[in-house]
Amino acid sequence: MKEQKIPLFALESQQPVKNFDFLGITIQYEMCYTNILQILDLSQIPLHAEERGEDMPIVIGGGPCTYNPEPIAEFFDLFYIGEGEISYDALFTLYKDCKKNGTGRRDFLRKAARIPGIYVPSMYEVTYGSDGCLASFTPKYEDIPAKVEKQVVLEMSVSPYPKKPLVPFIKATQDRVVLEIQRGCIRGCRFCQAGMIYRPTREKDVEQLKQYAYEMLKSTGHEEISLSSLSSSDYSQLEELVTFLIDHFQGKGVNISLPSLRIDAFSLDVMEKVQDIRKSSLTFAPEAGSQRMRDVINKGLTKEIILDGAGQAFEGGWQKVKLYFMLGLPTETTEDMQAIAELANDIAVRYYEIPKEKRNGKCQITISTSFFVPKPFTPLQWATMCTAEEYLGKAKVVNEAVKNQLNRKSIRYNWHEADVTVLEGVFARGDRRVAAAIERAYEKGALFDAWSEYFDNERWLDAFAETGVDISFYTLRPRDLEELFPWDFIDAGVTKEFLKREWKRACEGVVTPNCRMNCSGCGASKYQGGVCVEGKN
Amino acid sequence: MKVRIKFSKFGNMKFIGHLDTMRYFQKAMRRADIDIAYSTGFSPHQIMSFAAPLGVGITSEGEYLDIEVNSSRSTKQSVDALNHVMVNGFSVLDYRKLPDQAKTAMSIVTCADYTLTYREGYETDRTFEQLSEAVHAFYEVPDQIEIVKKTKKSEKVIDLKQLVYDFQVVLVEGKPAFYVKVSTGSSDNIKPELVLEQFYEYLGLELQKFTFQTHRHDVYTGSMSEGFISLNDMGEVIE
Repeated sequence: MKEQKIPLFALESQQPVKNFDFLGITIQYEMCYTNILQILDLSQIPLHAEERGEDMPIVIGGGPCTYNPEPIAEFFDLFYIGEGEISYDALFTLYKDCKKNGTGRRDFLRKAARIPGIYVPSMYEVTYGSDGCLASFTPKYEDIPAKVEKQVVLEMSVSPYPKKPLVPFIKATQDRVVLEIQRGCIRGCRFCQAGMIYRPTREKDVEQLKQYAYEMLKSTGHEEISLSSLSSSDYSQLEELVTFLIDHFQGKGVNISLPSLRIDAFSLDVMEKVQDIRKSSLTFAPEAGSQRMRDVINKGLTKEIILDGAGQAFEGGWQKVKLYFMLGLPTETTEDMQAIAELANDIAVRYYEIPKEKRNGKCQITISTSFFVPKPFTPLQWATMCTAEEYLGKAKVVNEAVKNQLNRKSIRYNWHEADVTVLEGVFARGDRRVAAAIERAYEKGALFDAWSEYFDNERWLDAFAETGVDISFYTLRPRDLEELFPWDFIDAGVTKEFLKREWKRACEGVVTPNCRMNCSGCGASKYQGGVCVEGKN
Repeated sequence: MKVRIKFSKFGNMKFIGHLDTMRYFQKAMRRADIDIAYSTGFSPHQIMSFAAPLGVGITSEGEYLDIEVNSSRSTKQSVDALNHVMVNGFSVLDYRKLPDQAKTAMSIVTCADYTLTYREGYETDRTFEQLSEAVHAFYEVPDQIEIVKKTKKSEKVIDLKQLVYDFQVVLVEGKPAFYVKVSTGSSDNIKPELVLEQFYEYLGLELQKFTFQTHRHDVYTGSMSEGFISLNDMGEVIE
């Protein structure tokens, strides 16, 4: 396309992207940042927002990564912070008015910055102190709000849902009806950004979901439906919904694909009914090996619960278990790492407790570890990271420990890339200065960095060195409790005071109960919706 | 009950490959509430098979797929229901009941016919008459046309004369184009472009890629000696 100077075009209309009014980009993962530049480049849209003329589209970013948009702020005209159902109408109405009145781009952006949830980077001035940390983050004009408020849908049953989604011809990753059953999560795991930024937890009405399921299967012709949410087991009407789907659709050639569920009698029974590859593997995400470490991250899973769930699964005929853990969590010790291998061994022991004639050969336990990346708006946002070498050293500790287990032959261990982790860490908590390194890496050919076969760490290290951006400043530097973070201008509902409390409790290894057990005063109750008002109406 | 569906594929849909076309129709069956039968077994799938896969980039007004249904509405109602859920570029032309003992379209296909028109920017400077004379000399006169057909694994010598049932120059919108009727199916499958390649070679010309837009008219069973029958004519209209 570059060779022939063909501008990037839209799939359905074949119109050049640069002729559109808006270009919206969902930003799900930090390692896709170079792909954003490629999209702009192929579209023949200037990479920097400030270089875009009147006839260029307004480039909008949305999605989880916008909870710290700063490393890519200069490439976007505006970001939408929060759930799209709320403020887009206001934005588009404003745009139409501006077009009609001949209001220019810059004035439109200034007006847009006053719409709740809209962040226009060019309307804010950023200064840094002598220590390199952010010193101030202030609006350039009086009419621009100092805080950008996350937008939240509160009436889930009246908010629009795409009942006729596009059906691609090619076999896309989500080649199925996706039914969102709730937003948010009550659990409060301290490493989890989604669990914080999507608060409060809001359930959808089960009768409405049944209707949506029917309409969407009918309008798309999909042969599969899956439920989407965080921690689906916490959806209070799950049993009713799943039973309905099985009763109404399974006989009609429709597969029901289950989200990750807590392993209990109900979920095992359902899996037995719907899984098309029988007795495929079961997945547990204890996230940490020792109880102490799980308490630090507030993962309310105990060894007993895990062993009990695995035991039920084994007795039901399963023999493969996958376990997900994180390494590099704050306060982690060698014992915590070794506990990962020990937990896997305990699960294997549980399997071999089943009488030989009743079990089906050996069990297979696969441990996967990723390295922890502290994310904005989580209690662990103050945590320091490690160097790539230190991360690999941690993986080695686990690997050695696995080899020392009695049931080592039933356990397999995989660990993630360490170099990518370090970069994710820079982008997750970076500021506007990081943009130069991203742009340089792109110029040097970085693209599809989320795919390991395209990722070239040397290229990135060179890009950082050439632009004078210090990786360790973002990853290894201890952050003071009072430090002003680049993302503090966003009001995500959870308050910094709450996050600080949680960070302290994490360091002390004290667990915090989930939202249904006890309100912890995170701040999201100000929206007056979902779990915050459950049972109070 | 066995049913044969005839459809056309045109416009941008010519870029949708065979496997994606299959998946498209599976979804369309559900959208149109066709009471299609599913295979038994652990992973049930719709009982559906296509006659002769159409290459990417080729348009057609004679594509076939056979399905099995538990019950059926009339031909007209079914065609309407399917067209109601089609995208621009796919159109259902017919829906007919097959005899119970009918073999699948795929297993009985023997022949298909095509028109190849010159794409814009690739037009020939030869006239209709010049080309007609050349086709006559290349195709009509000799008793056999031996060529080497290269496959992924091997090369074999075949006689085009036996496998090309018709080859002539026609006028499409006043411009010369080619009509070919060629052997199609699991054995002795001849692509229409192969005939044109050989013809160009005979003319001492090199055939540039993308010279022609290929369009399929219909798919047939039967033989040259006993006559070819359109796959559509094997079924009967459901009233």
